[in-house]
Amino acid sequence: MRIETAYQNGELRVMLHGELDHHAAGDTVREIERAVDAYMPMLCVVDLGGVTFMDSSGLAVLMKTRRRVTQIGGKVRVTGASERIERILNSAGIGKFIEITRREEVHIERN
Amino acid sequence: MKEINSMRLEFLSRSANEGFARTAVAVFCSQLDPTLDELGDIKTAVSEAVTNCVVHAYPDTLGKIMVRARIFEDNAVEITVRDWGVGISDVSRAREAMFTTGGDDRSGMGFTIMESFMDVLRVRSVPGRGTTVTMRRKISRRAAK
Repeated sequence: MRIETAYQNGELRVMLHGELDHHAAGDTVREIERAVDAYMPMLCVVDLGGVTFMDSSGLAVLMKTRRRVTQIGGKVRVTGASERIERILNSAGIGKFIEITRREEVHIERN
Repeated sequence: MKEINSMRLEFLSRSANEGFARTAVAVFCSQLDPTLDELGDIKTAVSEAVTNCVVHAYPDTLGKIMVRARIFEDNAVEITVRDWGVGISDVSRAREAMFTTGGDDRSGMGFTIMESFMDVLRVRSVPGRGTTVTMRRKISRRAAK
């Protein structure tokens, strides 16, 4: 799992690359929480576009991210999920807690 | 139904083996010429079952996990994931969506995902003796794809 972050105008973008399973979950959560604490974003966008595999461990990662961001008054949005990952997100009804948007074609400047 | 091929893996309950197990099973199943979607479903289900062993069966120790895959004449694959860990005292409760004993590190969706990605899911467990999860999935024939 490789994690890239970019921050601009109150928006923290977290780009995940690789396989998000239980083995990768602990480090992923720690890294996201570190970035959230450092930037205190209003909006945290978790981009799953580079995630080649995700199971239910990824759901716990997203819910933990939501909790951390909500504590500082921010919001979380999940984007870039493949159809398979979307099925996993939907099976847990995570859309009730986190905004999920389809793959977007937006150019982001990376730090 | 006649068995055509089978394989068996045994490994320690280290989280690094979650990826190994799902990939190995997927490679074994690829002889059935599955679609990427079918293969992805199987990988996800195996990952959930093996993760359960790593997290729940052997909470404070390393134990043995066995994965067996069998291919049958009707183009179905049956995957068994077995551990000799703590077991599950209430299997039907454990299978409920959002139920977990793993705190906020776990989502409680493992069995639900196995159920929705496979055709059949059986869970047998004896507390103190271990758990056996058996999953079955039929792979569509090429002509039907």
